[in-house]
Amino acid sequence: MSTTLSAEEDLRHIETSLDKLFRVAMESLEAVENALREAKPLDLSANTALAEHLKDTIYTEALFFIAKWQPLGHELLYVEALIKVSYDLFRITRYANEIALTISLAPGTRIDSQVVEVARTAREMVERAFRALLEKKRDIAKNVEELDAVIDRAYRAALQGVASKEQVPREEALACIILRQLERVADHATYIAREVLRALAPS
Amino acid sequence: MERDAVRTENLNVWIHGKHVLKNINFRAAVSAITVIMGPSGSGKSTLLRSINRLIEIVPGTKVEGKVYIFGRDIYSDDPYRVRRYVTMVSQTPNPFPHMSIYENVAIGPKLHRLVRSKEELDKIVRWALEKAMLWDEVKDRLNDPPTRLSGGQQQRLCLARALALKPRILLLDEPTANIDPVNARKIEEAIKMLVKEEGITVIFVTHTPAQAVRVADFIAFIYNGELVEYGPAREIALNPRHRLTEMYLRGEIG
Ligand SMILES: Nc1ncnc2c1ncn2[C@@H]1O[C@H](COP(=O)(O)OP(=O)(O)OP(=O)(O)O)[C@@H](O)[C@H]1O
Ligand SMILES: [Mg+2]
Repeated sequence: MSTTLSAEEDLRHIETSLDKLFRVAMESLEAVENALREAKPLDLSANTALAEHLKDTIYTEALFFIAKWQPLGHELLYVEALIKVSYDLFRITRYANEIALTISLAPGTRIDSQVVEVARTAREMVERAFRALLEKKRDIAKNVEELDAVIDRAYRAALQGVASKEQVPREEALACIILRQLERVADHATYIAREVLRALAPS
Repeated sequence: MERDAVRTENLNVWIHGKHVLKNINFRAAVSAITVIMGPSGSGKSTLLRSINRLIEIVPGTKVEGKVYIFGRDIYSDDPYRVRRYVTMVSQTPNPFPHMSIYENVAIGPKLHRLVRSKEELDKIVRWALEKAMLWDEVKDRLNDPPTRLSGGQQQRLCLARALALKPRILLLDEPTANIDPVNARKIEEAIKMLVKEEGITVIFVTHTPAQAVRVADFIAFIYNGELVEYGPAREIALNPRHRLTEMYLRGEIG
């Protein structure tokens, strides 16, 4: 039977589901990095469906937690953060899926290695933001916000490059689109980090 | 094996001609907490008392339908035997005032000859008081009368008394209605532990939706003698199917 003894136990349960969702997101981003490096097609539709299912489960569990334990103060903010973060992780997985689609449209196209670097940074941001949440560490969250600026610059530069040319080579156009999607991934990592800063009780 | 510890089939109860329970098909899953929730006068206590046959003591009652406990029809069984493995804690703390704290817990196992020695009895008393989360508070004054305990402690003593018979099913009729929130939480916690560690089946009556959602695995909502809705606590809390349930959860009826 599912009898749980305490609010803490129920909260751990939601965190476990969220951790599963996090792993799906990370796995998707790693797959994207490899596909970019090797210019290989990739299908992430199953991961996206799983991420959506996990997100919905977490929503229900978190709502039930609120109905059941009627949390107040930072506990309430934390549950709200878990809901928001589940949405961010789902969106991150979906952007990974869109990158996979983009790569698969032009198989064999060599993408600039700088894009792979940006993909790695975006993945690290997601990882750090999530660690900040579970370990309740503000300094890690702040660090994620700083990395966001780096990715923004890379995307703007690529956009500038495309905008300034009469004719844009296919690799460059694809790189620009993928950078835009990675920039969205980084944004969601940043939302997670901000959620950590907002919801954590001052220590 | 039966998945339901308790199951009623078209249970009807009349008290002095008044139709108090109407065609109730209720069930309580094994090793889980099933909450009976409903407004005052809806028939919660009557349903509980039908499960241990205490209802027969109330004068002017007529019972129709079946009550099965672990698949066995209890109305063709000996009522005293039933009350040995289905024990109950009532709304108001009612320890026996002329017995010591120890005797209050020991009396059940003694009368039912569950023990053969003083050591065995001591062991059961300690076990029951520990499970009721009262042991630490009374271990040095087991010979005091229960009247020296606070209301919340007295209620936990009644829980220990009910547990000392090592029941398979525990019936709780608003066990926290008359005690403070801290003692109430202690009782809720003790009950959840019992389900988890001892596999006891619990049927818990309350009229507070918040408490129902907090303690229940399953919730049965009864209104005006009818079982309106039954389901997992999560479903009832987030997605009740019946308008009456929704209104009750919002505090609009009762
Ligand atoms: N001994 C009795 N004599 C007459 N009527 C009774 C008796 N016991 C119960 N009833 C009636 O049966 C109905 C159900 O009573 P019951 O005690 O089961 O309600 P309840 O849901 O437990 O209410 P509460 O939340 O107030 O304890 C009520 O209308 C009550 O008036
Ligand atoms: Mg009652």
